[in-house]
Amino acid sequence: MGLLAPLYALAAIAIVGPIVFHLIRRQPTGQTEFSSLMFLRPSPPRLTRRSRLENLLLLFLRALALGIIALAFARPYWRQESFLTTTLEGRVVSVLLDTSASMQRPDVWQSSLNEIRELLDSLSANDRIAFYTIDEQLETVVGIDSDASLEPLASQQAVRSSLNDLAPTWRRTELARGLMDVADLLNAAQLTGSIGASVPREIVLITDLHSECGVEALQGFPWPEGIALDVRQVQASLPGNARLSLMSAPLFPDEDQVSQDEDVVRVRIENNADSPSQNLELIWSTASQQLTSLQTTVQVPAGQVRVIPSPRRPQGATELSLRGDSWEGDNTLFVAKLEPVRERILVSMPVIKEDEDNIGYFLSKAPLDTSLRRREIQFLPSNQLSAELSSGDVMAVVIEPTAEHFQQAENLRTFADTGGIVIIVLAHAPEQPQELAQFVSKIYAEPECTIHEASVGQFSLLGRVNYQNELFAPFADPRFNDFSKIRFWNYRHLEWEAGDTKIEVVAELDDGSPFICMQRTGKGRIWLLAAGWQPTGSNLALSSKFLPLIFGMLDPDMGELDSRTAIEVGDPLPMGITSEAEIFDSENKQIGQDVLARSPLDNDGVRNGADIRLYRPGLYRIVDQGHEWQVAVQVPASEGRLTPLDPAVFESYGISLGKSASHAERAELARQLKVEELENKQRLWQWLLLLCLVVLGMETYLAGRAAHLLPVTG
Amino acid sequence: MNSRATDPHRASWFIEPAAIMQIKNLTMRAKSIVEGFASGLHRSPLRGFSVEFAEYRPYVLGDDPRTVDWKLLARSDRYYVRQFEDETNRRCYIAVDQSRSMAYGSTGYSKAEYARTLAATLAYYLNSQRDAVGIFTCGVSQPEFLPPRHKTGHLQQIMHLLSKESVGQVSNLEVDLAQLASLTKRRGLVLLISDILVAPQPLQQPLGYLRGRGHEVVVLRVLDPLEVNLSLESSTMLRDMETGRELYVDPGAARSDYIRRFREHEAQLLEVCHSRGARLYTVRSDQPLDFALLELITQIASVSADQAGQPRTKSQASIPRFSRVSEGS
Repeated sequence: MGLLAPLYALAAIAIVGPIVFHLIRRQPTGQTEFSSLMFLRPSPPRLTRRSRLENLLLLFLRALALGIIALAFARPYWRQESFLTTTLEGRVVSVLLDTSASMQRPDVWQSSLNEIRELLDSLSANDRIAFYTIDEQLETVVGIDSDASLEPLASQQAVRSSLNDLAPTWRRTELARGLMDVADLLNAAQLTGSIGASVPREIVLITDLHSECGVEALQGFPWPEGIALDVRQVQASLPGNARLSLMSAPLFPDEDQVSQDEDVVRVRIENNADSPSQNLELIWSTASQQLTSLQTTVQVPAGQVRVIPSPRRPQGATELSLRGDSWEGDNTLFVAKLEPVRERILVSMPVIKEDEDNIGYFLSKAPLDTSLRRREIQFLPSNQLSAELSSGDVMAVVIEPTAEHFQQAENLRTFADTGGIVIIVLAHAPEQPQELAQFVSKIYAEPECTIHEASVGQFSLLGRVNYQNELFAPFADPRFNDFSKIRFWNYRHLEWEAGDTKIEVVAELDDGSPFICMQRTGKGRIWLLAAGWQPTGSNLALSSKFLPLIFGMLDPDMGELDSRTAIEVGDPLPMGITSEAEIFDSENKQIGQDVLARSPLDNDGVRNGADIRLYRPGLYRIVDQGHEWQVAVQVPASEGRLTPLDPAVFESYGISLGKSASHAERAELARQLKVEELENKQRLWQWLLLLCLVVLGMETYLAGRAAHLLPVTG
Repeated sequence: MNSRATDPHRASWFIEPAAIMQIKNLTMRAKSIVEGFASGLHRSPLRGFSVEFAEYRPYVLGDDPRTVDWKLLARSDRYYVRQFEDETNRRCYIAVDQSRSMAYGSTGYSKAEYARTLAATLAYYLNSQRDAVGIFTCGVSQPEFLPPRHKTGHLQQIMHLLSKESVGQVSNLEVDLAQLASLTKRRGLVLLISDILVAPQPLQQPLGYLRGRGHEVVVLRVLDPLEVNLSLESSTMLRDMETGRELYVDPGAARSDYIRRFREHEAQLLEVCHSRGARLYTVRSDQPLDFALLELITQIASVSADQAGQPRTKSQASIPRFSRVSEGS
């Protein structure tokens, strides 16, 4: 005989209660206060009849009733071993291991591998296992449909042997992508029939689950039914982390330049909220040795960010290291010597002359250079524009459209698609408004628009400014958003035939006509200004807003740090490199395929630089067609913010979390289900309750009779 | 057996103390008890100036000629001197014990309440006799002392002090009496109203102090009827009101021993009082207050007589006219 809920049998202890209450000495009820006990001595209580057990039969019946009730609640059943033997069906477990940079922490990686080994140990001989790793992208180690995976034991052996070859990478984490892909793979495997329809499917995710591991993309993903997710979070033994990033580009003054004070970079130190330490040290070092004499101690309280100037950079130092936090892996900041890039801005106008009445005059006077970019204004006749567009150093084109430009709309749009900036300025009244409108609609790839000279009274003002747009966002502060001093004497009225366009109107004039329009196309932007900035058109060029506006239109990143200083592992290199490029690491060795990923050659045999990625942090030298660059590749910023995330976050995305049970647990669960079924079939508790009622009836009869027979006592 | 029914001192014209205790106001309580009492129960043996004429006495040389009754001289041609009752100017210190054990009461009111009413009644009576009455509260955390005076409003102060709610503490009569001795500069009558449920021997010294200061000391012992004969109905867990000690008591088994020890204590107390020239009287809290008062006043009058120089025989001192509860019940 077995008990389904044996803990309820403990209620039988209640039998002791009445017996004990009956046996213990009767204490007087309550206390009586008396003025003084000085004349009293303790009188020993005398044994009375109440101290002995009476009515043993009644007591026995009552105890029996209690015992039967307790037994009924414990839900007994007769054992039938033949019924209880079960065979467990195999399941499919997909293990997804996070191999991102944050897993480089030694104890985290080792714990992850241990988790997988524990999981393998807990599987039964008919459980199939698939194994994937995820950093930026999903890697299949043992696929769900692979030959090894079809045979359960073989798949477990394949996973076990693959563990020794695995190592964490330096890439970002895209957990959501990995989870979605694995869930889709499991789903697809069931749809294609390689997994039976009733086979339980589980995903075991092994990750350090930090705050920037990219789970947000799971929002809106319909998690497939029947796939359980078990998140096994591995924690580092020491919490917290601090990370370093560059805020300004290093200048690398010439070696003979004496002014060393300038050779200081601004760095941003971010300490995680769970960091135990706040005293950090900054040290410059070369590739081979640390220059400990030049170190600065910084105090960054947990959860805070400090931007400070680094200690002065000694000659030859290329690495700035942070010391004092719990993980050293992301503490080195590589500082590359960046050459200023020469860029050309082509200006094409109907008449090229040094005259205030043309838009190029003010552009040429404007200081458009930055520390890493040398921008040169070049005036071009309109017929030579197309030829220059294809050369790589042209970053922007500013045109006042003429009839010759009308033919080049296609070229200009292609230029914008490849990352160029096209600024069309309608500075003067158009001679051919029809053709101009066609040119505009063609370059924007939008339906017809109409352009005509607007009738302006004394002057016109800006009517509406979209501060949400990146161009005007810096002006959003009330201290800077006064545009009422900018007056327009004449402008062109634009109107698109179709109301719904991809053109964003950034600013409008006071009659609702667009003043600045913008369209993002490919990697570049096409701007259109309906009035010129020259003094005959408006006083915009004389306004303090002119330079920020021009800068805003020319710089797609809107003043962000130059992309070359913030290249992270896995980022595409921002410069165009051909297939002949050779890349050397800091020890001057050519790097191998494990560090480098190249895109396939295109038709012209040229690789797009955007598809060359480096997968290990460090300082690299790129030699390509006589040019030489230095590239510093940093550990991804997101891998430095290591505040652990609660696994419950997955439930907020509609994924129900479960615990992947071991074989023994599953067997026990299956047996328990069988026992419940058996007990439900036998229903012994009902008979026990009936027996209890009989006992209680007898007890009532006996008690009544005893009460009737007993003499009435005072 | 109900002790009240067999009380030999109970007379039908005395007012039930339970009825008196229904009156909330202490002054009103005292007034209702005192009313009906004849004045002058403690006439002074001294002759002096007063409104009350006493007697004539033949003139002797040296008498004040103002006292000569000239009308009588005219009628009888003899010199007589008019003598008047001298009004006493007694100081009476009433010490009221308000310790925790006094809070006990099986009669519907506590011993403390009884003692307080008795003190108030006596104070009212003495005040109406133009005696100076003072009050000392003992057995509380901060004993208060009101020096004896006879002036307008003093009685109200006494009543106010007596009716003040106070939290009693453990009896420490020895210290309290010593304190009272140090407070009373001028001799008078000291009346201690307490249950004296303490060891009697240590009281010898403070009683000696009081007597040493020239006070007449009367100890009035207030007891609850239940305390006298331990007439508990059933065995119960008793908790000492002063110490908090708990004791399981079977009254049937413990009564005889209790009464024996109670009497021993009483005898020791009597011995201590006698050794120091104090008078001990015992009153049960179910005895009528006016009866108790009458007896008390008689005793005070006899004390006054002693004060006036009349020798008191030993038999008078040793046989209190109050009921001997330990014997009478």
